[in-house]
Amino acid sequence: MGGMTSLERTAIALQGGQPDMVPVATLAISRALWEIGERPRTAINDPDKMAKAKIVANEKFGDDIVVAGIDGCFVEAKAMGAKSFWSDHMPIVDTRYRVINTWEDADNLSFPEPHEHIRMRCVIEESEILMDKIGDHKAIAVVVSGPFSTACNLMGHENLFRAMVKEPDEVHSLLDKITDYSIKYHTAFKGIAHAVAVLDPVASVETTSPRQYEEFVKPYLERDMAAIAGKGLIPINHPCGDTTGILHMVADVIPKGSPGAIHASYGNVETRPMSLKYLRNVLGEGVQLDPDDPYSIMLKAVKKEVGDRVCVCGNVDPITVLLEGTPEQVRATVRRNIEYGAEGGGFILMPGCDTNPYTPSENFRALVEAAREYGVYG
Amino acid sequence: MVDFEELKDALINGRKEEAVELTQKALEEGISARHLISNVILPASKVVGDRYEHGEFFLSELVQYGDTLKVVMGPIMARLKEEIGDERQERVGRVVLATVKGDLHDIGKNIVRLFLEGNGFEVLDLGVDVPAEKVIDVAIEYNADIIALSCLMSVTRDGVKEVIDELSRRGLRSRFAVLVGGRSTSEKWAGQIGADRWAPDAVNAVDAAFDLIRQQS
Ligand code: B12
Ligand SMILES: [Zn+2]
Repeated sequence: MGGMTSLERTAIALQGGQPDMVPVATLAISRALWEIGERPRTAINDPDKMAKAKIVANEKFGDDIVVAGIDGCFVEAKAMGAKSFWSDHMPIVDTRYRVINTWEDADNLSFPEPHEHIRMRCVIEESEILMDKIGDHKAIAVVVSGPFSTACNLMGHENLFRAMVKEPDEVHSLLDKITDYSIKYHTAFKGIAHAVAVLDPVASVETTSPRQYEEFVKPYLERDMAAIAGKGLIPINHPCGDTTGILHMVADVIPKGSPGAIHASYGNVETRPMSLKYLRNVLGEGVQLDPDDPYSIMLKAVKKEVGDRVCVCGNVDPITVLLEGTPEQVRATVRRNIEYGAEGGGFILMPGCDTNPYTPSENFRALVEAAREYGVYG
Repeated sequence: MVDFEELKDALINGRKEEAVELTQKALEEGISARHLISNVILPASKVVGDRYEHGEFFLSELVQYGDTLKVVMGPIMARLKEEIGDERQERVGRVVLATVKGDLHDIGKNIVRLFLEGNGFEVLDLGVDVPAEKVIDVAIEYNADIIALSCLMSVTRDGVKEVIDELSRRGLRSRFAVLVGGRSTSEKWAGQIGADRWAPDAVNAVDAAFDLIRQQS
């Protein structure tokens, strides 16, 4: 391996620089538990098991970034009273049960101290253990939820999207409160994580319009990210899906002068006409598409548009490539990713989103091996 | 005479009061419920679906449209009942709707529910991560006409197939029509696993549901 540790390599990329080679993350998160014979259900509230699982998976696959947490998009809402139920992967918020049915409910939300709520406490402790055991040479990133997605988890999606049109002032006042509370939790990772990845999966343009992003997502994320950066943590913005029409805002929420990254699938040029149109606008009508791989090419456009301001993460499709593909397909996709995204640094190779626990080990291995093979900076 | 274009525009852009007023006026003028459905409601729904596809409409617009549709369909359904006569059945159709096992995505499913309800269907929504057995047990109990399944991830597609296989195992396959949708599903795949219909979006889901009911009666 090159002269740098995983941590050094990742830190340089997050600052927009060019390390010895492209850093890589598998995002084997709930899958990590399988590696120690556990399941989320048996281990989620046991920080020792959680940390151990992440370390074992990291040793097995050899990637650069270790993720603390598992139900990142739901923890804040759970602390504020949302109910959850179990799926195979993780306990998720049940949006049929709504914490907020009236604006009065929004005034009476409870905000337990991060150390006093079981999920928050467990993620904090897991991160502490990871930092203590491997944080001197591995990058530790914790996953948390963005205020907008948390609001959805509390109100139900349709109600929030109705209210944004009809009662915007109330929505702003709710988001303001959620942001204050989220900041308390997110900054609790000071000194026990290197980066905080803020997941905001409801804020992609599959659901939220660019105008709404500007009004209801951006200002709150900006405040959150500034607080995160203020504690010496590196913020990562994950809007999850299609970023067509919001990409600049997604990058702009990273505080100026602070290292930081964006991470999403960015759009599907096969199924979304607007993604394809965007790609052609940025890269020209003659842009070559890769058959059966609608995502990799997006890196080229994203890098061109915002690569000078933020580190760009992505973009191996977690389902069609990692879960359902062969190691050969994974290698070919990694190669394309690096071709489109790695130039000049400021790039971290990873799946476009969280991975499925059934992903074959060979594919996780192929992801890392191919990154090492093709990702060396000359 | 009510201008259909005006009514469509009010619907598409979620101007609820205006849409209800124009609908009522049209009905008073003697326009049949059927005529309104095929010349206003379905074309308006197509426009909404198209605008969503092209990034002009987003979730708020879909929800608003669903809400408007719901109130507009009240008087239209009442008229439709008179037109068909009470002798047949008083309902358009009953749907049991669920996101399949292992899948937690429900935004699209909820839009489909709004659209189906807006078009007069009775919908029992079982939520997300629903196992095959439960879908079927409830469909029997509820005396559903259609089982509608949403599936957003390629890894949860088996959950759709399980419902169809379990129906066959219990000898119930012909009793319910199965409608499938959600990203990661496709018309071809839906055919392969033996579903009755597939639809790419909420608008086409309504068309498909009407077709399925027609085929059943
Ligand atoms: C929001 C979102 C989430 C939210 C869901 C919130 C909620 N309550 O629904 C959360 C954060 C929970 C989530 C979780 C996950 N997600 Co997710 N998510 C999305 C996202 C960004 C938007 C989906 C959406 O709501 N779209 C808007 C609605 C209106 O559109 P729609 O769902 O397609 O519905 C329309 C049609 O499909 C159709 N339709 C839908 N249902 C039905 C049913 C019938 C009967 C019919 C006829 C039609 C029909 O009509 C609808 C309206 O027109 C998509 C990205 C995308 N490209 O879709 C990823 C996406 C679906 N998620 C994905 C993944 C991988 C996950 C996770 C595994 C990882 C993660 N992100 O943590 C987990 C899975 C957890 C689980 N086990 O399910 C992948 C799936 C990849 C694949 N091909 O399988 C996607 C595509 C993102 C990506 N590119 O990787 N996600
Ligand atoms: Zn995501």
